[in-house]
Amino acid sequence: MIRKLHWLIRKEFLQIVRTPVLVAMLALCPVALTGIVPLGLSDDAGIRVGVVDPSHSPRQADIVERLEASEHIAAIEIFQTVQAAENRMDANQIEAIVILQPDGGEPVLAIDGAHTVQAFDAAYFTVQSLYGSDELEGMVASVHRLYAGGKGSTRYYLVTMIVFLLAIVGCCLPMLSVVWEMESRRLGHLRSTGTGAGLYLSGKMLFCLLTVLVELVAGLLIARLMHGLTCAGQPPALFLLAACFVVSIGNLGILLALAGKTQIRCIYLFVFVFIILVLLSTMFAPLDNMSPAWAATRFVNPLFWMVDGSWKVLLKGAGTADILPHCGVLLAIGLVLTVFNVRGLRRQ
Amino acid sequence: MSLATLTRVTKRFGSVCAVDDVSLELGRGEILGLLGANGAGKTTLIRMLCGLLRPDAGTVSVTGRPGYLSQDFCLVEELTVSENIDLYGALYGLSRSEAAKRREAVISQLSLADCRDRQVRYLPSGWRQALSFSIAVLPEPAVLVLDEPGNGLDPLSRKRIWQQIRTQAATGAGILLSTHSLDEAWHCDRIAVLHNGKLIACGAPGQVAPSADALLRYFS
Amino acid sequence: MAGMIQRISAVVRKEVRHIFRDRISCLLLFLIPAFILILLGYALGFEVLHYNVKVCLPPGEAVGERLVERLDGQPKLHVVGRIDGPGDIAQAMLRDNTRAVVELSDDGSVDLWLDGSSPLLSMNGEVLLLPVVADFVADEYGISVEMAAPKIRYCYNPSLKREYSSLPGLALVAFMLVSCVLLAVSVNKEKTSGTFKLLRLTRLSSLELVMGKSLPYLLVAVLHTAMVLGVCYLFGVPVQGSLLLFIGLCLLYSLCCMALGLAAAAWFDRPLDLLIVCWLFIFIPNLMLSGFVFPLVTMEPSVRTVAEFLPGTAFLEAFRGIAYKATGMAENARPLLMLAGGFVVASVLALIGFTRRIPR
Repeated sequence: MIRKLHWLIRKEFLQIVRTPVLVAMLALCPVALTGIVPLGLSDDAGIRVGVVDPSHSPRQADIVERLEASEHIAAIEIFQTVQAAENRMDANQIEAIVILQPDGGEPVLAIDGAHTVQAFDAAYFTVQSLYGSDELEGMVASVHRLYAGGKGSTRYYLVTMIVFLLAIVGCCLPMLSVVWEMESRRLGHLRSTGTGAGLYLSGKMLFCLLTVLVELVAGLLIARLMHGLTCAGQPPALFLLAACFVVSIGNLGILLALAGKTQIRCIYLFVFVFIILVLLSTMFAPLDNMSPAWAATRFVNPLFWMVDGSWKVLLKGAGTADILPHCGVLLAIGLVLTVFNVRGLRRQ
Repeated sequence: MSLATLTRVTKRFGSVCAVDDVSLELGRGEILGLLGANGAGKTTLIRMLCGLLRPDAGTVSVTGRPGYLSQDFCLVEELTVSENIDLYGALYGLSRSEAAKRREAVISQLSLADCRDRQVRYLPSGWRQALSFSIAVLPEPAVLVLDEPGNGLDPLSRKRIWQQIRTQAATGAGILLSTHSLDEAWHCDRIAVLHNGKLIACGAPGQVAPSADALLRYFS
Repeated sequence: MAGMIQRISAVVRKEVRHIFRDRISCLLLFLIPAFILILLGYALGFEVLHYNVKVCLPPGEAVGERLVERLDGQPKLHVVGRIDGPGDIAQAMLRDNTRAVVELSDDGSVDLWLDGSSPLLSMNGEVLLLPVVADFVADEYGISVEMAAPKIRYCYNPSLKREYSSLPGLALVAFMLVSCVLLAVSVNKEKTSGTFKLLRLTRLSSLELVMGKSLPYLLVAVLHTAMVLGVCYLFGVPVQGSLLLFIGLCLLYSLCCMALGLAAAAWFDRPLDLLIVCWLFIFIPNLMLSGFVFPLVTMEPSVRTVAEFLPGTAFLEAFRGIAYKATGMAENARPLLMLAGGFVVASVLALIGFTRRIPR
C-alpha cells in the first residue's frame, strides 16, 4: 500500500512539474497574493480634508496646523464656501470637510458617506487630529493597542492574503486533478487496478498537503522579505493549522469535482462556493459586524478557522494549544467531506 | 471452465435501459467479441464486468481482477513510458523486482527502448494503444477486457494489437473485446451481438452470420 | 449586412439554447448574482453589532461589579469573561473572540487593552469603550471629562448605512463573475470540444462569432442590472442620480468584463490556464484593488496608479457617484471613458486572438 501511495503522489508531482502553466501558477500565486497585492495596502488613511472658512476665522491656522500634524491626513485645501467644498466632494477629491463657524463655535464635520468604511476612517482621524484624543484618552483611560506594531492594516490583510493563497491552491489542485481524471476516464482505469477510493483520495490529499505547505513557506518568505511580516507565535502551530486546513479545503475541492463532473461545471461551482466562503470568512468584514445567524456559518466555513487561527499565530503570538480548537474543527469538516468523497467516488 | 460469468445483468440510467437481462460466459483462452452499434450497451456491460459499475439486477463473477483497456488510453500523458509502466505495476500490486522485470519485457516487446524516457503525450496513437494494452496485461490477468481496441488505429497498428490479443489468449486468458467493426468481430472465437441493450445473438462467427458483412443485419 | 445578421443570430440562438438547456449552468448564471447581491448584502457589514470584552478587576471591590454592569448594559458590548491579572491579558485575547480587556486598578485608574491587529478593530474598540468608560469615571470619581463630540453629518449617507459600502462591491463581483469568467469559460468549452473550429470553417468571421457569443450574455447582464436596481431598492439605497446613466454604467461595465473574458478565452486554450488568468489577473486585482475592500486613498501612489486603470475601480467610482451623489455624465466622464477604453482594448485583443490563433 505504501508503494501504491508513493506512486500516486509521484504521479501527481510529475504531472505538475511537466505542465509549465501549473508550475507558473504555483510560483506566481504567492508572488501575486503576498507580494504584489499587499503593495496596495497602507496604514495611512490618506484622508483629504477641505477647510471651509467663510469668515476668515482666527481658528483656521490652528485647525490647519492640527490637521497637518496628523499622519492620516494626506492633503488640506481651503475653501471660501461650503458649496465649493461639496463640489469637490462630489468629484471624489476630498473625503472630509471641516466647516468653521462664524461665531467661533465648534466646527461642523461633513464626511463623504458614499463609502462607509472610508467615512468611518475619515470621521475618526479628522476628529482625532482636531481634538487630540490622545490627551482625552489619558484623562479617561490609558489605551494600549496590542499586536499593532506600527503596521496594523498591512500585516492584518497580509495574513489574509496568505490564507487566500493556501485556499486557492489547496482547493483548485485536487479539484482539477480529479475532474481531469474523470473526464479523461483515467479515473476508471486507475480504480480498475484495485486502487480503492480511500487510497486514491489519500494520494491526492497528501500531495496537496505537501504543495500547500511549500506555498505557505513561499508566501511567508515573500511577506517577510517584501513587507517585513514576522511570526509572533510558534511557526509549528501555523504549519499544523495549515495541514488541518488542507484536509478540509482539499476535500472540498474533491467534492466540487465529484459534483461538477466536468471541468466547466467545476469551475462554475468553485467560483460560486469560493466567493461565498471568502466573503463570509471574516477576511474582510469582522465577525463583530455579522448578525448571529450569519456568524454561525463560520462553523462550516474552513476559511474562517484558518484565517482566525493565522491571525492568532502570526499577529498575536498564539501557540499550538491556542489553535487546537481551530485544528479540531478543520479536521471535523475534513472528515465529514472525506466520507462524502469516498462514497461519491465509489459511485463513479 | 468459465473465467467470467454475467448472469441476467441489467443496468439502467434514468429511463434508459443500457443493458437488459444479458447473460454471457467467457472461457479459458477464448476471444469473445461484443458487437453492436453505438449506444448498444457494450461499454456499460464491459464496465460492469470490470467492477466499475454495479448492475441494477443480476450477478457478475470474474476470476481475479480483470485487466482493462478502455476506449481512451489509460496512460498518464505527462509521465514517460517507463514511469507509466512503473505506476501501473505499483497499483497492480507487483513487487518492485517483478515490476522492473515486466517493464523491461514490455519495452523490449514493443521496441520502445529509444522512447522509454519520452512522455507518452508525444508518442503516436498506435504506440500508445500498444503500450496501453501491455499495461492492461501487466498483472497477467485471467480475464482481459478490451473496449474497442482497434479504434482510430492504422492497419499496421491494428494488426499489432491483434497479435498481442492472440498471444494473450494463447496463454489461457479469456478475452472480451467490444467492437463495432464487423471484420474485427469476425476474428473472434465467439461473437455476442448487442442491440438496444439486449443480447440478440451469440455463437461462433459462422453460426451468428454466414459472413462478416452479413453481420450488418444486426445493426438494422 | 443581411448575411452578417443572419450568421450572428444563428450563433446567438445556439448560445441561448446552450445556456438554457444546461440546468446547472443556467442556475449558476442567475443564482450566483442573486445570492451574492441579496444574501451577502445582508451578511456583510461594516458596522459593529457586537463587541466582546473581558474585564480585569481588583478583587472584592464593588466598583468592579458596577463597571461590569455598565459595560454589559451597552447594547453592543458583551462581557464574556474575567481575568485574574494583567499577565493574562494576551492569553485572554486569544479566546472567545475577545477584542478588548478593560483593566480597573486598585487606585481607580482604567487601562483599555485593545485588539490592535487591525486598525478597524482597534478603532471600533476605542469608539465603543471610551465614552462608556468616560461616563463611568465621571459617575464614580466625579472627574468630568468633555469627550470630543463634534457635530458630524454624513453626506449622501446620513445614517451611515453599511449597504452603501457593500452593494457596489457585490455588484462588481456579480457582473465580473458572469460577464467575464463564465463567458470566458463558455467560449473555452467550445474550443476544447472542437465546435469552435467547425464554426470557424463556416463563413462566420471572428467579429460575427464574438458578437454572437456575447449577445446572450449581454441580455443576461441586462437582467442582472435589473437585479442590482431591485436590490438597491430592497436595501433602501435607491439610485439618487439618473437611472438611465446608472443602467448605462452597468451595461458598459458588463461589456468591458465580457471583452476581458473573451480576450482571455481567445489567448488561452486550456480550461486550467483560463481559470488562472481569470482568477489571478482579472478577478482578484479587481476585487482587492478597486476600492471595494481597501479604500483607494489608503493605497501607495504607485499601486493606486495601476488600480485606477482597473475596470472595477472605474465601476465603483461611477456607481457611487451616480447612485449616491447624483452626479451626472460630466462628473463621471473619466470612469466611463476608462470603461469604454477598456472595452475597446480588450475587444481588439480578443479579435486578434480569435483570428490568429484559430485560423480558417
